[in-house]
Amino acid sequence: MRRLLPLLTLLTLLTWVGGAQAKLRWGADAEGGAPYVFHDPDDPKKVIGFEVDLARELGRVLGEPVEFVQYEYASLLVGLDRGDLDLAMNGLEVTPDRAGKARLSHPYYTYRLQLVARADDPACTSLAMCAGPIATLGDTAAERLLDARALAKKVYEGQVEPYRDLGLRRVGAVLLDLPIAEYYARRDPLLRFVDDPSLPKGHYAIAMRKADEALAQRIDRAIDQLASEGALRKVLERWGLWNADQETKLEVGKETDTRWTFRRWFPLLLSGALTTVLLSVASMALAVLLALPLAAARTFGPRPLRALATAYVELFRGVPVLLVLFFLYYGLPTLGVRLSAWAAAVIGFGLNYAAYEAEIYRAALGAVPTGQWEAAASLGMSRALTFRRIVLPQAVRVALPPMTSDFVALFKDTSLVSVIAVVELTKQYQILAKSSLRYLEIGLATAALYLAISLPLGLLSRRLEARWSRGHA
Amino acid sequence: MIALRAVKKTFAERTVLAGVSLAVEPGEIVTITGPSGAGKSTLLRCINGLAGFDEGEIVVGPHTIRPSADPLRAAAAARTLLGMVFQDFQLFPHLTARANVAEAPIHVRGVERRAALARADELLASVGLAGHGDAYPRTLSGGQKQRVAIARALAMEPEALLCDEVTSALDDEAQSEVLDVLARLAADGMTLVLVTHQRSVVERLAAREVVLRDGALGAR
Repeated sequence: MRRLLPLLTLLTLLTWVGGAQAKLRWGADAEGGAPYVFHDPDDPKKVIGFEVDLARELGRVLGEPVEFVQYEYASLLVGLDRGDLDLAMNGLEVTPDRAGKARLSHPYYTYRLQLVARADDPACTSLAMCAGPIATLGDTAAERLLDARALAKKVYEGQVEPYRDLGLRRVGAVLLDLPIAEYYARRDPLLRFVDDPSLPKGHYAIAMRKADEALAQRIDRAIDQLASEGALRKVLERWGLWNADQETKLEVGKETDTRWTFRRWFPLLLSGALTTVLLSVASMALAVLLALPLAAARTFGPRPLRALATAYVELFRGVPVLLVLFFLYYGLPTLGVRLSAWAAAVIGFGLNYAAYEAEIYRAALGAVPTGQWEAAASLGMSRALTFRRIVLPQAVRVALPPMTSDFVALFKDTSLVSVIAVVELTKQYQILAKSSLRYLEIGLATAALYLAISLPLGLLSRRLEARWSRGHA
Repeated sequence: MIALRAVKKTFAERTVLAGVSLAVEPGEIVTITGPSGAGKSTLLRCINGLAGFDEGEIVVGPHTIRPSADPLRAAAAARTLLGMVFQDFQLFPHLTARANVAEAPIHVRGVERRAALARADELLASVGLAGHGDAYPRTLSGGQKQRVAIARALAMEPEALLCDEVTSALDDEAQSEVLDVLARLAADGMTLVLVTHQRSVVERLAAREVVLRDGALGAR
């Protein structure tokens, strides 16, 4: 009996582990994901949505619970490969790219792209007639359609912001899947639906690992059963998503196959790099401009001015720049100030980095010995003249190396601006990698581009440091 | 030329100068010696406003300095007659020797740039540094740096030179280079007030020596 005990424990453990695996882990992104999967506004701990209902129905038919796992939308297929998920169901459109990477189930929904314009903009009667950039989400059929028709686009990460920016006249129209438009735009009196028959339709399907063919076939059968039972229709009707499209069978994979060759993605990556460089340079220029009076106020100013400058520095060093960007871009319009994404980005980074630069300048001014002030004073030089001719040139030499490394840091930090829909290098990488699923090669190219700019800067910084440290012997 | 009358200064409840009076005639060479911490440098710096004092007055030529919260301003006029040389040189490291010397004439007096640079070369030659005009301070020896500092002070054509331990940071050879220059200036009639703790300075310049002890002056 005593010998049997470990064995029994092991068996219990095995069945327990087996039991845990029997649950199907379904990945989706509930962050701003209505009406697919989203947090219930009345009970934020609960996720609701038509795909939640569908998952429950699937679990019922399969006889296995389907468990929701919060997963970033862009990474769903990666999550399958990593083994974090068994199923990915989150409005994933059937595309040749996806079909090549994952096993896609039978479709469970037929979507169409819905164009939404402002109610007071009668000129926008079809996609081609809308003025200004068209807002959409990254890595969607809508984005690819805009690319295919060579229309100016603005790519967002969330579903709320495109319609919001449409109301604020930052974009000319929004092109997204009908369920999103139904949920976010239908009841907005400022917006109207535009009927454009040229817009294509497509399918949503569940993605699984190609190796999980057995599971895939069970899922296919379950979807077919839900469709024939009428349970699928009930779910869609509950969410106001049932329409005539659902009754007609479309051909799968009708979307044009776009091959992601190097010649196609690299120029896009380069344009992202250019945005990054321009953004960094403009932000740094603003930061330097603001930092000089700040440092002067902190070093030479009267007490109240010094306190103000100190408060500024502490505020912007203590608040994440991401928050500043959100505030400037999404918060300020409430107060009637509408900044473009570019202006918000440059101002946000400029304000933030000014705090760091001011501290560098303050330290650099402090590094010039008092004896220099005294020597200049003994020669009859005024304080202002001494500052300009004697102290400043020395302080600049102390400040330049750390400024250069700050610039490199800023250069990398600019990747944060994707949250306000500026497409720079990192964001361009995400978009391209997601669309082509070539995370590795495009990732390496992106890193190479970053290094191609930051390495020479770092080298320059060390050179300056070495050269000028000799000047202070 | 320079007269201190009952100059008093306390700092952090400590008496630094307890009513110091001293008269320096034009062309005279006076050394102020005394134990370290006796306030020798402070006394010297009161004369050109780098330090303030609480009571008494200091007369430099026609200008009178009285106690002020802004000693630099109070001594501004007096400073035009005074040059100063420091123990640690305080040359401007980002400027060449020539530019160090020409800086104040150009930017304070408005002397035309080319004339000021030519005059700087003459002054450098007069302290034995002909041909060193293009050198940056970091490339010069201690003795050379101090001679550039003297040339820089002379460029503003002072009537008296205040020297604060100007040979203390130098080796013997450099000390005699600097003392030679000062002796020549003295021979040409320059008034010199030197703070030093080195006997060699007093002897080499055949100076009148006053001793500052516990904030008061006395003869040796």
